[in-house]
Amino acid sequence: MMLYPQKINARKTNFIIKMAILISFAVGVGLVLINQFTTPDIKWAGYCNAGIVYVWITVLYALNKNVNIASHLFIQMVALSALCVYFDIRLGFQAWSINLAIPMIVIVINVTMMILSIASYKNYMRYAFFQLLIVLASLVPIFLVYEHLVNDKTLSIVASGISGFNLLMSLIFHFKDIKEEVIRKFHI
Amino acid sequence: MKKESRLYWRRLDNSAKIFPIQAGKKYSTVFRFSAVLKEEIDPESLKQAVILALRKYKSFRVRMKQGVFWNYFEHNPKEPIIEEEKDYPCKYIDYKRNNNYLFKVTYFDQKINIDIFHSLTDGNNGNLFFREIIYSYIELTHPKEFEDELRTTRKVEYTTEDGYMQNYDKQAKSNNSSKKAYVLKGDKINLGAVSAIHEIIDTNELKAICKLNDCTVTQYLTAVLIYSIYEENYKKNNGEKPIKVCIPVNLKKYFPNSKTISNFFTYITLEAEMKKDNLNTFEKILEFVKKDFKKRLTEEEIIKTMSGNVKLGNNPFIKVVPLFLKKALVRLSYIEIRKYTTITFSNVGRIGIIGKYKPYIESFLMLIAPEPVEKIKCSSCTFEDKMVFTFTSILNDNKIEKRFYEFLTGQGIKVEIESNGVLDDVISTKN
Repeated sequence: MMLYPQKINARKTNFIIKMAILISFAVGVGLVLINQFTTPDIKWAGYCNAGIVYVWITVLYALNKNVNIASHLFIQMVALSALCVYFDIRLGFQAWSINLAIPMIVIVINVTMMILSIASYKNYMRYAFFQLLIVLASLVPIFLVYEHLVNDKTLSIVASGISGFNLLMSLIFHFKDIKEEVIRKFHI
Repeated sequence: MKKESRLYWRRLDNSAKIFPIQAGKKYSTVFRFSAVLKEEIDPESLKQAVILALRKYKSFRVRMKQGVFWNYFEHNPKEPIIEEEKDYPCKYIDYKRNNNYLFKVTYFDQKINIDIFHSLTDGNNGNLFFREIIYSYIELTHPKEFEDELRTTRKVEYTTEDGYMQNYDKQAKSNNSSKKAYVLKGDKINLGAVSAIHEIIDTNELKAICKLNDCTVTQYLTAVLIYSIYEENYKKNNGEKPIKVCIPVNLKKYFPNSKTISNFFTYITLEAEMKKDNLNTFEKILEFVKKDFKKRLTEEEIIKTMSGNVKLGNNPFIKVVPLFLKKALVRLSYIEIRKYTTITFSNVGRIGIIGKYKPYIESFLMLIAPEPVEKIKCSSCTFEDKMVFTFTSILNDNKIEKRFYEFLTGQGIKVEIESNGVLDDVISTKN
C-alpha cells in the first residue's frame, strides 16, 4: 500500500536540471561555432544564445520561487509582441516585428513551457490553462503567413511548428490534466 | 440575492486573525490529518460523509470574506469538493478552486486526508471534525454493521465563541523572549515540493524508555529532536543562537469549560542555549528539556503567553488599521517574526476512536506545513499502540530525520519509516 501519490524525487529533479543546463551550454557553444564557420557576417548565434539565457532565467525563477510562471509567460508573450509591433510602427513599419520578433518570442516562450512541463511534470495541472492560451496565441505567426503579411516565412513556420509540437507533447503526456482543467474553467 | 444578504457570519477568533493576513503560497498555515483505512477509499461515500459531517459541524461550512479592518467568516452555500490527492501535503488552499472552503478533503488509495487552513480551527478541534468524517464514512461504507448508528444521530456539542477573549487575563504581562533563534541552514527543495517522512514508533517501547528517564513522551521526543538538530545542522554550521522549539498547547486543558470549535491554543517556546549551557550530549539536553518544560508549562506562564497575544490583537491602534495595510505590514515583517523559532513540534496525543470503528482504521497521521524560515515542522499523534512522528520539510536533506530515527532505534525502540519519496528513494520500511 502506498501512502502518497508518487512524486519526482528532489535529487533526481536537480540532476535533470543540471544536465539540461549543461546540454544548453553545449548547444550555445555549438551554435557559435556553426555561426562562425558558415555565416560569420551575420551574428545570429548571439540571438539564439540570448533566447537560451532567457529560457533558463525564467525556468529557474519558476522552479525556485514556486510561482505559476505559465501565466507570467503568457502575459510576457502578449505584451512583448505588442510592444515590438508598436515600436515597428513608430519606426516606419519595416515589418521586422512580424517577420522576426513575434516568431522568436513564440519560439522562446514555447520552449520555456516545454521545459517547465517536463521539469514540473507532477504539477502540470496548474500550468494547463495558460499552456493552452500560449498555444492559442502562438497561432498568430501562421495566421500572418496565411494572410501574406510576412515576407520571410521560415521563422514563422518554425515557430508554429514548435508550438504545434508543444501542444502535441502536452496532449500526449498531460491529456487528463488538460481535460479536467478545460472542464473546470469552462463549466456552465 | 435576498438569501445571500442574510447569510450567517462570524468574526475570526483572536489567533485566526493573523493567518489570512500572512498566508500565501509560501506560508500556507495549513495542517493535515490523514486516516489510513483498511480498504480502498470510495470517493462518492467520502463526499457524502463530508456533507453529513458539515451538517453537524456547521462552523466548518464557511468561506472567508474581507472586511475593512478584519476578515470574517460567512456561510458557504456551495458543496465541498472531494478530490484524489495529487499535490504535496499541506499546500496553500486556493479557496477559489475549492468552492471557497477553507479545508480540503482528498483521498489516495486507502487514505483520507483533510487539509485545514489554521484560521478555521486548531489541531485538536480540526481532529473532532475529521473524526466525524471518518465515522460517517465507515458507517456509509458498512451499512449493515452500522445500521443503528445510521438511524440515530451522534450528538456533537460546541460553540464558536472566541475562547481567548473569554478567558484572557487583562493584567498579565507578556513573557515572550526577545532572542532570535537558530534558523536551520541548507538549500530548499525545488518545485515547491514538500517532503513528508513518518516515523512510526512503538508506543509501549517508547513509554518504557520515557519511564526510565523519568520524563513524558513529548519531553523525550523534544530532546531527541534538539539533539538531532544539534548534531546534523547546528554543529556543522557553527550555530550561535539558541535552538528554540515551539510547542503548541491545547488551552482546553486549562479551561475545561470551553466548548469552542475555533482556535484555542497557545504555545511554549523552549530555548536551548547549546553553547552557553554546554548542551552537547543527549543526557544534558534531556535534563534541560525537563527543566524548561517544568518552568514554562505552568498555568501562570501559559495564561501570560495567551494574554500577551490577545492584547496585541486587541490593541486599538492595530484594530483601526485598514486590512490592506495590515496585510502589507505583516507580510513585510513576517520573515523577521518567524526568526524567533527554530522548529515547531505539535503532539496532538491519542486519537480517541469509538471501539466499534477501530477495526476499520489502520493509523492516523498529522502534518504541519513547513515555511521558508521554519523549514522543518514536526507533529505526532497516537492511535492504538503506534505513534506516528512526522517531519514535513522543505530542506533539501534528510539528515535530521535520519539522526532522529537512528537515535530511537539505537535505544531499542522499534521504528518504521513511511515517506512521500521526495527526499529519499526509501518510501517504506514497513513489511
